[in-house]
Amino acid sequence: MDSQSLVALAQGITKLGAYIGACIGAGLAVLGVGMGLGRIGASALEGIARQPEALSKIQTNMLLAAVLVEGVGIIALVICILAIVM
Amino acid sequence: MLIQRANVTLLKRMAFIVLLLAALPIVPVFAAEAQGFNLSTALFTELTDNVDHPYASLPLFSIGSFHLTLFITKHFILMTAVALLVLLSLFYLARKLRDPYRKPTRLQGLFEVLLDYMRREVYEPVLGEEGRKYHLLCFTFFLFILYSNLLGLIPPFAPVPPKGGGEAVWLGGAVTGNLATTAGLGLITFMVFNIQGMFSKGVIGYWRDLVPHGTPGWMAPVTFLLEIVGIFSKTLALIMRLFANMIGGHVAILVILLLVLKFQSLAIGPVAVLVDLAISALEIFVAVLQAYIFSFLSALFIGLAMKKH
Repeated sequence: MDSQSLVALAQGITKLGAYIGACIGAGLAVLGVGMGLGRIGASALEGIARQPEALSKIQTNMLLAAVLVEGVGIIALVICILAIVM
Repeated sequence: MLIQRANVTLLKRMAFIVLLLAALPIVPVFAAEAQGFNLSTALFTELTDNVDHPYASLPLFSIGSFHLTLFITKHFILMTAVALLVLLSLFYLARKLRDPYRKPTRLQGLFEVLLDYMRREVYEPVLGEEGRKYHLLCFTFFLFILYSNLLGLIPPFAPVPPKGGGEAVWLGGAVTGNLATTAGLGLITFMVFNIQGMFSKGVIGYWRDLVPHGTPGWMAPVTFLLEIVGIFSKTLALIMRLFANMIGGHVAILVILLLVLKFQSLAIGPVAVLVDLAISALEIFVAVLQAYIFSFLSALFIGLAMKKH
């Protein structure tokens, strides 16, 4: 193979590696976020079921924790997008 | 039993909206040719600021070979608009609050509800009495991020040609979708909570109090190192959370719309618009929530730095 097609092959393999890594990374990030948010929601609902008059306090704190967990997941997703684009 | 007549006005309005949405794909698509369209470059141009080809550039000062120029770009114009809106809101609120016996207007009521809720639930519990001077900073963060997130949901509306000709850059997008903006906001929080901590506890006392009072001797260096890393990682998370939430939302909206150009088929149009409607509705919620979270976490970090155990 001449050098030009070798360079193209190397670039193709780099892109393939980037795509595979990005997609697996995105899947794992979403897995983590899904599990975390599920636990937050479950414990919030259990708390509301035990004490319905604490609804607004529990809801506020649930939303706060959910945003923090989601933030970490979205940071990972942005890194995956970065891997694809660059 | 009461037989209800169908609400004719509602049905007519819904039919009009459906007709509008169905007419969207008939509008001709001014797009690049099939060979020339690259999805990632189009996405990149839409999301990032046009610093490479700005609308105008004003040289500020230059020392030797170091030149400082101000580039008038898309995000600069939008940030100026957002800053003016924040100033106007705060001046309006202050003017109305100066005369408490007048009947409050609806806009004043909205701002009062926001400020009162943030003060009672967020700022006073975490900042305490000596932190009252930071209520305004955190509320300004809240308004700035809220307005820029909400303005970013408006699709790009005006093409403006950059300096030196070339393809027109459309004016639109979120100011907080720019890493420089969120980094600036995060660095303000970083500086405020460190410097206020050093004021409250003493220059040496702040660093000494990073390790709580009762830790055993062998754990102290580890805790100290972890706390130092924690200062930087908390700031970085604050910056990246806001940036990533805004960019993620806009990437999702734009990719679904740009699929029409990528597959060169107008049949994707109605589906894309409906899906984008749902995503944009979620984005409105995310915009308000991210503003609240940034403001709350800034207040929390400042309060934690000031608190004497």
